[in-house]
Amino acid sequence: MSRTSGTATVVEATFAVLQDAGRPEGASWGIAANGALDQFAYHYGNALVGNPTSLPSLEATMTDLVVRFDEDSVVAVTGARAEVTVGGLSARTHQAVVVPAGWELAVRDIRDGMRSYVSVFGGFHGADAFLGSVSPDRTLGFGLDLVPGTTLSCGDGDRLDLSGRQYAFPECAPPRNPLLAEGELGVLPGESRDLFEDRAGELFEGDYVMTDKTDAVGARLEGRVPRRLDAGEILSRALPIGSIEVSGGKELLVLNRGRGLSAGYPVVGVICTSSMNALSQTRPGGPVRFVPLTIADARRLRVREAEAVQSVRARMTTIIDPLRVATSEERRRRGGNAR
Amino acid sequence: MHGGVEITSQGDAAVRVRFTEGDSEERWNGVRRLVACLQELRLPAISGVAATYDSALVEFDSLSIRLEDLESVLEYAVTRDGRTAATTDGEPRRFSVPVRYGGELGPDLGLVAQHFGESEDDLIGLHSANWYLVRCFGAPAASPMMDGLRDGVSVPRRSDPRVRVPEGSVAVAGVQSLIYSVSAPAGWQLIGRTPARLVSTRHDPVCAYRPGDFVSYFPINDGEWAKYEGLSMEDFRV
Repeated sequence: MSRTSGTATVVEATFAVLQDAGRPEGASWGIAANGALDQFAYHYGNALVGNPTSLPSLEATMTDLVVRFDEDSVVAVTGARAEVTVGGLSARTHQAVVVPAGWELAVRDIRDGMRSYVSVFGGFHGADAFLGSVSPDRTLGFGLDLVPGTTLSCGDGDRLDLSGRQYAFPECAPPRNPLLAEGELGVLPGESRDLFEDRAGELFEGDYVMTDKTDAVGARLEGRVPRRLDAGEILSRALPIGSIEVSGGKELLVLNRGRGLSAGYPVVGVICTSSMNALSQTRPGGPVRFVPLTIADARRLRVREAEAVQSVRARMTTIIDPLRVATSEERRRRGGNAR
Repeated sequence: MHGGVEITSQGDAAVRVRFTEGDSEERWNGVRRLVACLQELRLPAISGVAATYDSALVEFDSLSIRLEDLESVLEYAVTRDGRTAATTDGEPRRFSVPVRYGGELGPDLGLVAQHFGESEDDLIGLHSANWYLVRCFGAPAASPMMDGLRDGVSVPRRSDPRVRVPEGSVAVAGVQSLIYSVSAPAGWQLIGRTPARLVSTRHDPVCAYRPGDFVSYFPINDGEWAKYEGLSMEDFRV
């Protein structure tokens, strides 16, 4: 990633970090995957700015984020609903926008969700990677917290000629979930259901409320906690992301991407991959409801999301690629051939 | 299904392979052979394998492989285990790690000694005379989970877990022992602390040890701490 095109400077940030898809191979080393907590919003944002593969983006959690770009840049804001402005002018989420050189992109008043993502054409660079990812690992004290004055390089070496652009990029609203309504989380059976006998079904009977104990490691939900009938010890074993743990307290603990890998608590269900994005966007006080799902349906949701990302990526690449202007260094490298 | 092995889906992105036959040693060996076999197969759809005592959680990308197909691959992998020795990992590594026992750095030494009916000095002698097999990576991040002090003697956990134990703490609980790779909340009994650095995000791999390796300890005094401080586990390989 040595070839970049411009610099982004953080002007305002409180809880914001650099994120990518995480380090799934960490599991083999006892290291959590981490990565963007709303993986769909992260990949969708990258697709919107025409990145052929997903590159590091900025993740702001419930607090405003303002970034200044020193070159004309194509950016997109995805995830939670938010007030987006470019140089003070109102802009939309889920639509690529041009931030002219020296202007500020502001993401304010994040609502109806926890996290917004700012993606840029060519990605944000300049932070160290660990196991192939720049994403924070709080347990290891790794990651880049964005504070006012943080600078990151961005772009992939090519400039975009945005001078003649009179019309807006298309708005691409993310697809609606065909199986689950707002606040519904798809759940697959957990391995310890036997320990609860028919009480595991209690999971699907009432609403739960997100507490303020929600972060990359996990989220605590208040509501009906199924009571365990057998009190035997469970040998420590690794638990997947999305595990709904019953630890004996008054709350359920859902393990998220930054979880410690092994635990000895029983698991009554596992939230499907797609619904973990929704869980990560649920604000404290927000209601959630568990809905039983089959593996086939969970896969359908995943496939649908991937197709949405792919189709936006294809569409935006077609629009953005012709705007590439090779830099002089680039032309030398390519032997002076015009593109 | 292969005898003595349970393959169960764990949500839509993971499958657990659990070994159910034989004693704990045989089950753990089954897990290690499976891990070695999967390392050899290098299936791109498998993103990671989190192995513990009697099971391995195989995480996969459901867009690249169907659950049924992955389960077939895993069934093949466990039937193949007879032929696949733990060759991928090579010979076990051995690490001899300095520990400052007792005092502020090992506040539970006296209690643990009492539990074993030993004096503190004898417990230090007992603890540092053994080689401990690394069974798996545990929490926090890549901490080595090892066997306990003496076969079958279980050490009770603290009734009031500590909010934060420092990095490098050498701990025992149940029939297990552990070195904390980073500081974390914990209910284990702390008998000492090592100045060795266990994990580093700047190193590849992130730690020098892995399951199947052995760790032993040697006591140091306060004056010797500085000499070893900041050295990595690799520096203590013997």
